[in-house]
Amino acid sequence: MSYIELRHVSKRYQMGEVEILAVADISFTVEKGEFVVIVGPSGAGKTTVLNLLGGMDSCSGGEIIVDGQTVSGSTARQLTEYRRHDIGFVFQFYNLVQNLTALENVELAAQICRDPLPAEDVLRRVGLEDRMGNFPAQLSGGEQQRVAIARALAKNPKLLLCDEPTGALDYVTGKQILQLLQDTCRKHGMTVVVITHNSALTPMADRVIRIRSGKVASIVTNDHPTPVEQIEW
Amino acid sequence: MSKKALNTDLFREIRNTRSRFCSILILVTVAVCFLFGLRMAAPDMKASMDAYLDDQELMDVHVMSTMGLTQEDVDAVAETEGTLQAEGAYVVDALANGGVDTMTVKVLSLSENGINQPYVTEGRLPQAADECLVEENVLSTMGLEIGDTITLDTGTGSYEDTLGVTTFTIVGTGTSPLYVSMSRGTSTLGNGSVSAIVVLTEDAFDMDYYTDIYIRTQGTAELNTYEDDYTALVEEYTQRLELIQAEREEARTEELRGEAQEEIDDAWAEYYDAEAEAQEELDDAAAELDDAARELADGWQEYEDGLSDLADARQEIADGRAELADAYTTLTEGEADYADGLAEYQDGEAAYADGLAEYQDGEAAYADGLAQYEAGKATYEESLAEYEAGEAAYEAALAEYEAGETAYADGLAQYEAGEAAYADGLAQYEAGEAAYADGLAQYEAGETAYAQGLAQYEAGLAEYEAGLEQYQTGVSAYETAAAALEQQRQSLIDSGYSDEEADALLADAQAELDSTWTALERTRATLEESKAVLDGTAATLEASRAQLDGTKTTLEASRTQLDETKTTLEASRVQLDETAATLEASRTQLDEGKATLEASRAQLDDAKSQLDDAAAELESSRAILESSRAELDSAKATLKSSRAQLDDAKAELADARQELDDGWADYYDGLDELAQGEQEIADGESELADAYTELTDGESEYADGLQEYADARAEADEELADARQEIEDAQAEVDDMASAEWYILDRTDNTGFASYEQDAERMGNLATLFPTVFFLVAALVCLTTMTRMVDEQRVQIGGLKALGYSRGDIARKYVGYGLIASLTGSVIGLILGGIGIPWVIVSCWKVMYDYPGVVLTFSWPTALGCVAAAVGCCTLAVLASALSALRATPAALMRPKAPQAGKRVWLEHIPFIWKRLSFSYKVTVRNLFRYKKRLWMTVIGIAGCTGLIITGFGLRDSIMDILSLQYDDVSPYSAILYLGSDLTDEEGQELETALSDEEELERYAYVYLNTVTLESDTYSLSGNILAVEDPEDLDGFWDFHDRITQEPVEMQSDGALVSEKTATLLGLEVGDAITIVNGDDRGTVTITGIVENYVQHYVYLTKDAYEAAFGVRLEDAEVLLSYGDDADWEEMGSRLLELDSVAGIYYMTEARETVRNQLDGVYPAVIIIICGAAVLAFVVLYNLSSINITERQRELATLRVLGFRDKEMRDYVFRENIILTLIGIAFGLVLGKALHSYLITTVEVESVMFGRTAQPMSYILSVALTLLFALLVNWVAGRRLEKIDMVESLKTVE
Repeated sequence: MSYIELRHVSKRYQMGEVEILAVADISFTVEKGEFVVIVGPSGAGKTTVLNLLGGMDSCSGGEIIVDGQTVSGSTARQLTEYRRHDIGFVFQFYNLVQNLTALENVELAAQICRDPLPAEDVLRRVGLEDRMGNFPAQLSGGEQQRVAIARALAKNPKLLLCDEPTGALDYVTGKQILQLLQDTCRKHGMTVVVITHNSALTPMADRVIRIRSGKVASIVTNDHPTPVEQIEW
Repeated sequence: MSKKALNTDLFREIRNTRSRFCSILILVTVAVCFLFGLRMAAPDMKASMDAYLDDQELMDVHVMSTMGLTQEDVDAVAETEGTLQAEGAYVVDALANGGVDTMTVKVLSLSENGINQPYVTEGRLPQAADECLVEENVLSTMGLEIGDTITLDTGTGSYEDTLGVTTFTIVGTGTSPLYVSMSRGTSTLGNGSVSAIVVLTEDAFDMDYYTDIYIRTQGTAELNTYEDDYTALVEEYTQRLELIQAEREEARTEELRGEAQEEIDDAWAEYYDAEAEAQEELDDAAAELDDAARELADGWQEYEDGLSDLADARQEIADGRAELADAYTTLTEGEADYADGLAEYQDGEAAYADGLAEYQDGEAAYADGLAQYEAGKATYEESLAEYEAGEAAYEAALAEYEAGETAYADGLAQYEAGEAAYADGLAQYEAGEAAYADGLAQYEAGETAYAQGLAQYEAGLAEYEAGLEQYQTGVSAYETAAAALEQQRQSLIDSGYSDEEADALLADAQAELDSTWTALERTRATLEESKAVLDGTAATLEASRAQLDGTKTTLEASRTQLDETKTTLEASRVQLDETAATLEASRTQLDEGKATLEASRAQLDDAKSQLDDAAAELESSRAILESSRAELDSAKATLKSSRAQLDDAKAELADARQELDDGWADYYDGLDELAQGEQEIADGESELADAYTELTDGESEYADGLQEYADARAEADEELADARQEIEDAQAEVDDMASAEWYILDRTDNTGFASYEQDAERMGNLATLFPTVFFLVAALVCLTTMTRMVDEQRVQIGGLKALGYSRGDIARKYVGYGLIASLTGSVIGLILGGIGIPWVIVSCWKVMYDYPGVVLTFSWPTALGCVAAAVGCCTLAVLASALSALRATPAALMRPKAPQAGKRVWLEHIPFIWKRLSFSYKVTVRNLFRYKKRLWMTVIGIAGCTGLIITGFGLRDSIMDILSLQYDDVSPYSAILYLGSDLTDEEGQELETALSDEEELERYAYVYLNTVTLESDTYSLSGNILAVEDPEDLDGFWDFHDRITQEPVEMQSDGALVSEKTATLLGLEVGDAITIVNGDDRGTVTITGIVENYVQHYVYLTKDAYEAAFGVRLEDAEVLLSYGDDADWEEMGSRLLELDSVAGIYYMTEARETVRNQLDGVYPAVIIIICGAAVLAFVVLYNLSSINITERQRELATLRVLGFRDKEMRDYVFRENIILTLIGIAFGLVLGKALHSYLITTVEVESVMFGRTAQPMSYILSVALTLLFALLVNWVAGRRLEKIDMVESLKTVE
């Protein structure tokens, strides 16, 4: 039994009178501590997969199992609990609460979960020990994304879900963030799932899942992932 | 225009943002509704009244004269230019009787031409002289119905004999347009206050002059009576009328003076005739009286003789009666003794019977007890035997159990020994097995060694044999060689060689042969050695063989032995296991046995204790039984002795009876004799009595005659004197008769008409305050909402700009949005407000004024003004927010507007507070300071709502308060007693006695209380005057104090106290002079104090002060009464009303009820205000929550993704709302207080001062209501919160 398992997952949306099949039949597995990149062009269903995996939406068919727990078919309340305790989420646009300092943003997440990591420690871990008291508006994009990652990590989640984490960042900062994610995976054994349309990121992953038109096009395991610094795009 | 797409966009926008659109629309609706509705209230009130007055054809001008008006006067008025109609009419006062009460009424004549037509609510107008129409309160007060009759008493004053008919059938109810307010004016009749009107036909009046002329003028019906053009027109007409006034006054005066002089002359002639007639009659009467006196003297002499005869007979009878009385006493005593004896005897019998029954019961009970005791004893003994048997069985079982335990222990020991032995055997066996195995291994090794040795040996033997063969072959070869050598030697020898030579020649060969031999010999030795070795080996082998065979045998033997041992061990194992099983079984059995034993022990113990109890019980019942035995025996003895006693008593009684019967017979005989004597005397007496009666009658008749004569004489003298005086007075009156004076009055002189106008204007004032608050809040909300809308659409605006649309085109959409919302709202508001609010208000005022219908008007300027205000506010708000966005470049618009950055708030610099806040509260505080605009909006909105609600409730409080303030604090008396006029001293004394005899009456005070007109230079109003002899008389009836300081205010002897509202309205202060018009008197006094008072206007002063001002000493006309709440006041009232001196009584409970009914009319206004405030609160809060959520959609979506639960989300957002609500409420409390005190003075009616403060409960209620609205809105908005799409968080920043 793998750590994360998606079995024949499908998702339909009813848009007015039209029914849209966003995800047709997706199956893949992720092992604990793996760095996984889900890659695909826009509209391929990446975000839907992310929503389903992140407990933001429930699937129309199939099964999603995370750490032996079946996520599919949960009620809204159960999904909230799942997001609360099991998922760390890193957004493309950081989504920090503007009105809270970096430290408070991390505490915001930490205060609601079962055994959070100390907020200061996590911020130190992402290299922001000097900016804890700053508001998001006083931080650069990369720093904001670090805060977002710290916020996700402070919850001590089973799974770190990153949606285009470098999408809003420049090349150098993007690389630093990816480095941070990879380090988190390698050094702390965190399972990291990065969703991106940027194929250039695939060499750094242990496992690359390509999605096309709502279906898994290929799954490639990479025995020797490339260190981030060698990746160019 | 080809910009159709923009319009489509606008309409889609409206459809997609329905709730926002609706909230603006509702706000505008409410604001316009209130503004327009309240603005139209005053015009509608006036229009309703005007319509009513026009329908009833109310007079425009009204002429009254001090001496009545004649038909000539009417004609003269009719000829005046501008007169449409002029008609004479009668107005008189009367007391209406019939039913359960008496009322003072104004009696009006019904116009034949329809002027001042009464408004009939039920029935019809009077047609015949004996029909009348009355006000409804006449029916309810007097308990009558249409068809009943009333009588009208015009009293003895100026209205005497003005009615030709006095009994009328009520044919209908209605009101007169002359009296639209509650006030019906004053009267000299009854208690001075007119409470209703009665309308009669002109035929019912018997008057030779009119009291009033009513005039309708030309061209005024079309005008609104409250407008200036009407006033001007009437003014003009009045001036024309004044031109004929002097002439008519003069004519009337002359006419009256002539008539009066004629009457006086007639009176003198009549007077002299009457004087002569009276003298003649008196002389005749004196002669008759003298004859009667003589007759009476004879009769008296005869009567005296009869009296002395009778006295003797009476003495005789008295003696006989005394004797009989003694006998009777003796007999009755004997009877009583006998009855006592008999009763005693019967009691004894009964007691004996009871004792016997008791004794028998006791015996039976004893027998039962004994039987029970014996049965108990038997049972006890049986149980005891059973118990002992149980004990024995238990002991036996115990012994058995102990034996079992011993046996078990033995078995266990044996078993354990067996186990040990078995273990030893097993160990031995296992050692044997091991030894055997070792032996076997050794043996097998031996065998192997042996086999090897044997093989070696056989190989050695074979080698040896081979060697032997070789040797033998060598030997034979040697021998052959030796033979050959010999031959050779021989040959050599033969051949010649000496032996030596041959030997030499053959030496080598010989040597070789010798060595061969030696070798052979060595081989042989070797062989022999090998042989020896082999033989040794063979021997050794054989020995090992033998040894091995021995060993084998030994091993086989030990095998057998081991097998046997094993068998034995197994057998003992089995035996041991069986033993173990057996032991266990016996263990179980023993345990069970033990349990059983313990159970039986317990059972036995129980039984034992039960038995002990039973024994005790038996013992006690035995004791009881013995004591009851003793008791029974003594009872038996007692019974026997009482039987004997009873028998003796019976005999004694029978003797006594006989004696008594004899005595009675003697007594009755004596009685009969006496009766005969008495009858005789009675006859004589009655004869005498008749004679006496006759005599006294004659005597009194004579006295009466004498008195009559004297009276008649005096009366005649007095009457004649009066008549003379009257005639002389009349002459004097005629001599200085004033000339007639006209009063020309118009509608504004009508109290109700004028006060209604004031009230309408008051309602108009109300219209300024509320809508302002509403508008302020509505504009604020519109501004925020529209700013938000424009912000949301920045990108779209940018897009449109980029496409090349002009600013105007783009602005049009947003302006259009605001315009449509505000215009639609305005129209709805106009309809709702224009109809609903005036309707409610006008209906409210109908409680205070009599007018039937509500007339709604529509004023275009007001309506357009309201719409312009609403649309302007809303559209300007839109324009302002849209223009700021439109000024930016398209590129800037398309870029996301940077989210408002977080900031530290000042509170963070106060660590004392900040550190104590929980994390969630810190977030809340930051958010509060972050959205400052929203903070102020909410605080203002909520403050407005709370303020309005407080005002609403406060209004009610202020109104309801005055009841208790007035009737419990200021004037806590219970009733007013109205006294008749001109009381005699006797009547006054009788009243005083009656009042002091009323036990439930706590206090009473004589006062003068009357309705007067109070005037200052600027204003005049109808009020009351209260005058007392001594200010202290009013203690407990009227409390004079300042409203604010509650300091008492003393009544001075040289001035008057004035109620607060009166002073305010008249614009007077302490030290100013107030003019009082009391009937025909007019006086001015100085105000020495202003006192708290709520209902009606009052001037309080001492009689001295009144006399100083008016030159007239007032007589007490009323008595204030004070009694407890639980007094039987109805009973008391009717007792007091029976007095001749009392004309009426008015209970303050009635006053209270009347005022309450009037004030209840204000409730709808309160409800309107509260409803308006509620709508405002809801819309403001909903809008703000809504904006709050939309504005922070992304943040909230992120929180959801982070896993915030619904409740936590709600807390996150609504904690702010609640804090803002609380702040808003705090401001609202202050605002509400201010608003309320302002409003109260605005809406007050003239005759009443409302309370100035709201109750704490109203504040609490208002706060609670606001909180309720806030929670309701939070709940509604919370549902929206749950629907926030988490996918929002993934979208690009807009």
